[in-house]
Amino acid sequence: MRKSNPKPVNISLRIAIVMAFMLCCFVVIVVQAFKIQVQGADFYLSQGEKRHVREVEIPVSRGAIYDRNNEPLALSTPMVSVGVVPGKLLDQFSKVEQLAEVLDLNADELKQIITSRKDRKFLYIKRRITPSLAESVKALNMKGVEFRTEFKRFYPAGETLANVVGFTDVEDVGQEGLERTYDNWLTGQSGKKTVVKDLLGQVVADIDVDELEPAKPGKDLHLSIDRRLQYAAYLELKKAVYLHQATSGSAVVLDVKTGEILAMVNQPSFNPNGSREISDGLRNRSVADIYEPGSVMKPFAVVAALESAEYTPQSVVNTSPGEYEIDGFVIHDFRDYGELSLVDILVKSSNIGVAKLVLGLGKEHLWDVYHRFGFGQASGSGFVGESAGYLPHHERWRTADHAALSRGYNLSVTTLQLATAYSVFANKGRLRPPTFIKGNINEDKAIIDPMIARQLTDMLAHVVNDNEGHKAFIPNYSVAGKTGTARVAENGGYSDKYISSFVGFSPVSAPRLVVAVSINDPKGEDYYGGLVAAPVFSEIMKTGLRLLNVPADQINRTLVDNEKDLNSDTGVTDAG
Amino acid sequence: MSVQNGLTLLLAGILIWVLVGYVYNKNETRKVFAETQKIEKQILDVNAEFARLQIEKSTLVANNRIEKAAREQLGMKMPEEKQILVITR
Repeated sequence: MRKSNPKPVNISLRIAIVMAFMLCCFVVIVVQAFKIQVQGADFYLSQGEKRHVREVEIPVSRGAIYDRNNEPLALSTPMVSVGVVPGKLLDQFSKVEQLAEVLDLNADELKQIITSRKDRKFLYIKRRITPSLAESVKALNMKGVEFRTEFKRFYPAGETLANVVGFTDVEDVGQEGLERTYDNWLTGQSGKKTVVKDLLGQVVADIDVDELEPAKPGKDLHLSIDRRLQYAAYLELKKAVYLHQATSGSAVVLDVKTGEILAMVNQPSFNPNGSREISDGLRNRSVADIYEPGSVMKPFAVVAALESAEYTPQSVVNTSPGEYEIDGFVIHDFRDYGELSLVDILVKSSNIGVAKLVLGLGKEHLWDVYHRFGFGQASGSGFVGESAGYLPHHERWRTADHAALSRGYNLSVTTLQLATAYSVFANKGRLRPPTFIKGNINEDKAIIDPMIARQLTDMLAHVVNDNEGHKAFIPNYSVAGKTGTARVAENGGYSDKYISSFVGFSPVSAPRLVVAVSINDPKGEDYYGGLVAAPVFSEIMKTGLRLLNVPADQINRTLVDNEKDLNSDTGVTDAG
Repeated sequence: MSVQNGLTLLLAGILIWVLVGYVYNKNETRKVFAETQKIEKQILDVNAEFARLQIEKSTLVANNRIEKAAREQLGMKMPEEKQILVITR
């Protein structure tokens, strides 16, 4: 039904109308865009932010540290940290006062901080408060106050294990001890995921089913330490250090079969749950402090003598007249012991005896024996800050050095090295590097003839048995070990300070534990290793054998007076 | 014509049904999601509670506390050497 003759159309008018229409639209769009993007920017930005797709962090905790029986030694518990966006608080100072009151902060200081740092996007004002306290902060319902989950580290074993386990800083990074050594293992990786939040800030949907970065919580660490033995050892060491007014001390308990460190204690120590201002106790002296060990080295000199095949344990050395000059240096024995067998050289701890033994052998041989036992090298425990000690190369030894080394001077060792070296005698001549991790047993390797290890074990048993009333004696168990009393080198000479030590193992028939004790600078009348360190050794060893259920191998019935006495004197007092 | 109208009505009906279903589903999803959020938060709370209880427990079983209780409240002590009799087979 179209007209057969349409009128001519005014094309240019039509174009003009369309153009005008489009221009109008364009103007409207520009005006609207201006309104939204410039005038209403803040409003829409904040509105958008509230219901926006965003990445949120999934916080993870640091791995816990447990002892060998799954008792916790370091735990992380979630806490709330409170932060502010300073710019949003400037106009609500009355509420800031309430906030300061709840958080126990100084209100004026807080206001000042907020004003002076008003350009900062986020500012922590109080970190790691309890969730219940955080609830009362949330109840204030303030804009510009934000909450983040952080973890607080707690150390249930307290000072007994403080310098071994170490601690973390405010950012949860390991600073000292095993916390630092195994930081990578313990540290988790916080994850990220994208979510949609609604007006109330609640997450309404996960965008991705797969998280952007899955959260990886820190892995737990199971130490070889036995918390009970650690506690007992710590008390004994602390008692001895106090009793003898010593400046410091350390003790190590090793499991002979596995090389696991069952206890490692140091004095002084600190409370890891409190402030750590006093730096004196921070160091793990058992692995970090080195000293000239003295007579505890003599068994290794005897190993060199036995390896030369020129001596047997019964060979006799003449130590008369109790003085012996080497290269202008005179060395003394406690008294003139006359002729001594190798066994008695250790029993009497004769300086002249061991000097004469090693001077007949090459310097290289003695160096080689010490080197094989691990002196002058890190023990392999991997502990951060572990010292390798110091063993000078035999090419630099003078003859007097050679003799000095045989009695434990001119070299430096750690308490852990001594314990490890003595474990070789207890472990049939095989050296197994120590470990802090339960079940992480290092490969051992044969470093001396098992026969010689057996001979040394018997000789060291004589040291305890033949010296009447030896303080390392443990009822019903056979003990092998050696004392040491070394002068401390100071200012180029030897001072009148001593380091008293005792290293030994038990039971002799099937050794289970090695204990090394060293006490630095006892100021009382007693300074001999046999009087200061040996009692600590025997107490720690006794507890260790009991806790590990090691059967007695040297049963002595004469200790029990009689059964009647046992019944009448139970020693239990009624406390009501 | 009537066939066409019938088809239109049917399609419109299906469309409305799908739309309502979609809205219903979306709502259900939100509800279930909110539920998982709540449970996830519960998991966090329970873990936090567990950590707190572990700490509390380890404080209560601390060796020095046990020793003190054994010695002072219960009057216990380590047996003396002469009170120990080792039994051999």
